[in-house]
Amino acid sequence: MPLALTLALVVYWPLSHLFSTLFTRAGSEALWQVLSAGRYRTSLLNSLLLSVAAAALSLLLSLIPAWVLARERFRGQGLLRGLISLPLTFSGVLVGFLAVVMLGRAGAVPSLLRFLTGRELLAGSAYTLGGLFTAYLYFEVPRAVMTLEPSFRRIPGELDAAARSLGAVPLSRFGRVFLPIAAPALRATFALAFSASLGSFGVALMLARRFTVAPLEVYTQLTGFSNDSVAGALCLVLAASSFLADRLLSGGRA
Amino acid sequence: MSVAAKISTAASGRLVATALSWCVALFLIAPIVVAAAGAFSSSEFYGHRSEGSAPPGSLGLFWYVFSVWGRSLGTSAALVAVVVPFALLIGAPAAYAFRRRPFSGSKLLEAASMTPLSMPGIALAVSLLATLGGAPRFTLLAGGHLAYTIPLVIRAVGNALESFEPDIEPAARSLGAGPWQVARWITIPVLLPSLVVSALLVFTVSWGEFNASFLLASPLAQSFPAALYVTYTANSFPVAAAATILFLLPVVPALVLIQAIGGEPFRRGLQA
Amino acid sequence: MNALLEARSLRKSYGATVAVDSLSHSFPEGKITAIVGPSGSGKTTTLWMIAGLTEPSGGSVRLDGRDITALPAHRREIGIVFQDYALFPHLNVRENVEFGLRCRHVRRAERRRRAAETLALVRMEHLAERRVQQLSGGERQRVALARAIAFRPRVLLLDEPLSSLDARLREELRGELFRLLRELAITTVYVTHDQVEAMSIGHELAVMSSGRIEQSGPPAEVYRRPENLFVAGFLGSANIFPADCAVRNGRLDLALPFAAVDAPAGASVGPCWAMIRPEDLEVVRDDGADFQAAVESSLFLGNQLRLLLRAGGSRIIVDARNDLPLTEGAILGIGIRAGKVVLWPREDAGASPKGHERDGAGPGPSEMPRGSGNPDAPAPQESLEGARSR
Repeated sequence: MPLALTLALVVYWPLSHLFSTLFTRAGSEALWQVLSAGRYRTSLLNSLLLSVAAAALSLLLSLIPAWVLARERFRGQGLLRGLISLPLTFSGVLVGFLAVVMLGRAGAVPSLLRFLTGRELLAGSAYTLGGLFTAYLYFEVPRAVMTLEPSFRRIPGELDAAARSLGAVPLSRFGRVFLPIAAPALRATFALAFSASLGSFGVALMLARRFTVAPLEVYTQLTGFSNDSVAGALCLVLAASSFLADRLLSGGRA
Repeated sequence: MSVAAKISTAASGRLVATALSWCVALFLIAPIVVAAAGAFSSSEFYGHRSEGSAPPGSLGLFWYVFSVWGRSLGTSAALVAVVVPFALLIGAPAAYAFRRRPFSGSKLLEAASMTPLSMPGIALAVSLLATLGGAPRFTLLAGGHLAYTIPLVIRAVGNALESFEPDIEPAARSLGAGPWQVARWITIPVLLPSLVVSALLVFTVSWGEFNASFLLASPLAQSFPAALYVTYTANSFPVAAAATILFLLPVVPALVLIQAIGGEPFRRGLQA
Repeated sequence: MNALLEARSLRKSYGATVAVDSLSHSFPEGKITAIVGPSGSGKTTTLWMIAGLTEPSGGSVRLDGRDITALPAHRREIGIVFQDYALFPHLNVRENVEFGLRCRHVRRAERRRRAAETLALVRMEHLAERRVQQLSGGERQRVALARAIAFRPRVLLLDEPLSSLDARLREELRGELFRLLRELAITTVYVTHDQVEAMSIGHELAVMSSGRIEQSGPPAEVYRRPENLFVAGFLGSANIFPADCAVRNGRLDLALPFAAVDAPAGASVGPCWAMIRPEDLEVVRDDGADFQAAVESSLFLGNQLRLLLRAGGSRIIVDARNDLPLTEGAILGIGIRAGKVVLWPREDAGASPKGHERDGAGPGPSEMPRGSGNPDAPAPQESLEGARSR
């Protein structure tokens, strides 16, 4: 079975190696160091908080487009789907670059605002936490829409009609019928978006100047200081959090 | 509320929803358009000075990018050329086995093959570097890309297998088709759209993958996304924009093709 | 009759579950054998083993006296129509029909000719270039049949070919399909869970339950003389009562729970089960009646009136003319048509006849009559269904 072999070689051996460092003295010390205090913990917390917030907002933003793509029929639907799915394959750096293009010191949005108001607004905001957050959204919305759409499609239309025939008003239809049915898909999407931004390193590499997030810290430790054990420990925490999110939210879905 | 009012509320609700969706699309597309415009427009607008022999706003800029980063473009192309066939050769038969010839432990193996998708990319890249750091970089890069792309193939082909009737292969056998004929005339043609979509998917993902590419890159094996980063930090805006356009050039047609071929079962493969 | 196809102690088990339990049957050449049974009785598995698509756990399949158990499916020359039709989605109608010929390297022109011929047979020639996705359920069914017979197989297997159609269409296609199958005169095995379909299509009927054939023979024979309770209940409706045969006044008498009548010819002394079909009971004037029964309810079925009666603690179904004047609670005189009582020996008061044991509980007088093979469903409803599909 070539699959098993490849998996073992490029996924499981490296990953298990990562986990096994936990049991070495240096590894466990590094883990403690990472979790206890200082810039490592800050970077981890930054990452986790940013990812949770970005995942939540992108889920919210994706609900309507996903629903429209799944349920409505109109001209230009294919185009809409195409446009939304285009950034799906963009790597983090590219997203970061686009953020700079839009929100950098001489970005399009500040230029436009200066033209309109004559004042300097939002210039360089790409390099703030808010900019990183926006970039994360850019990164996650296409993923969330594309994950949600097929599951929305599978919700039978009769269900909505049945709820209507039983006298449910739109809001309670949404709350009582739609949400419970879509809940597994929403949870899975959240988990996906969460781990995507948690591990997204390119975006941070481009944008994080005044603060640090975990993936960036991994890179710095690895290349700048050859601090393999700290980098490993950070990765371990990242992997564990996204694994946990996946397990808890998607209920062990393969 | 009268029936007519209800209907018009529903209709306007739909209109608003559609409009909002286009807004989301705009949010996603606007930066690309601006970047593309940047590659062709005058650099003064952005307050940068262009370098190289060619003036901005001409195709010459692309030639400049090409001449500087041609090597990494080549590396990316070579990488894609290796990753696409291997991902298909490993992923498609595995998906087939999972769906049609389940064996003990196949469920577990399938779930296991999906882990890279829910792993932070950097974790896998770092652990790859830690264990297999001694391997030739190009091989290592290809390995990392395979870890990410094989699950995509498994998912796309698996979904396709689920979407058509399971009895068509037995039907072909009963009609006198031997194992090779079943594969050649039934299984492969029926799976062809999903195989093509998988290939395109693997292509776009591998072409754009950064985490592993950057960490595992060496001067001799630097893929284009890694080179992009260098461009972004070191070069002026028009050059960076031109490099971005160059990067997007093969991705866009691939995505258009995926949309054109793929119905739902195939698109689901995209949710990586 | 010449047996072309033969199953010998065919067995298939999945772990501890036995799907087909040493099934032996000879399928007469050029005739249609209908296998009928409830879902999960092993019909499809049997068909797949005959076609070579499922490997038997034991036993053998013989074609023309030759053991073909080890022969792969594609060398068996057995055509099969699948339950969901399994048409090739990437080929059009004609290419689907030509597939079997293509596998046999028949030349293109000849292939076309025979495909056209076969499509004409099922009246689908005008849709030859259609994609299969554009076909209706009935059209798919016909293409599936055409595909299975186009390469002139020795044996044709059909797995519930009408079950995925809606009731109206099913009725319509049934006649057409049956006419065609009889015309083809090919050795055919027709699997269905619908007793009416089975009885009307088959030259030969085999009733299957829990992986074995309970009884086989000409349909009318099996219906009239079921060998056990399962067969009696599965085909049509049946009144079944515990009874006793005893000699009285020099004659063999049958004591039913509510009446005593002359025992049928060939009956032997002792406890027994008695089966009477609802249509073999008739409403008669009091002086000709074998017993009296009170009307509990009646169901108007259009062509007839189904009466649910009670007599001496037993419930009895009687099919009567639809113009019978009737009042609730009326007492009717019921006559049993001569020679229509079927008896099975009953070892002792508690034991049930063969075929019923696997269903669990033995029948008590109060839960009579039983409608069909499902022991859990309430009897009156089942009877109604049985009557409707007739």
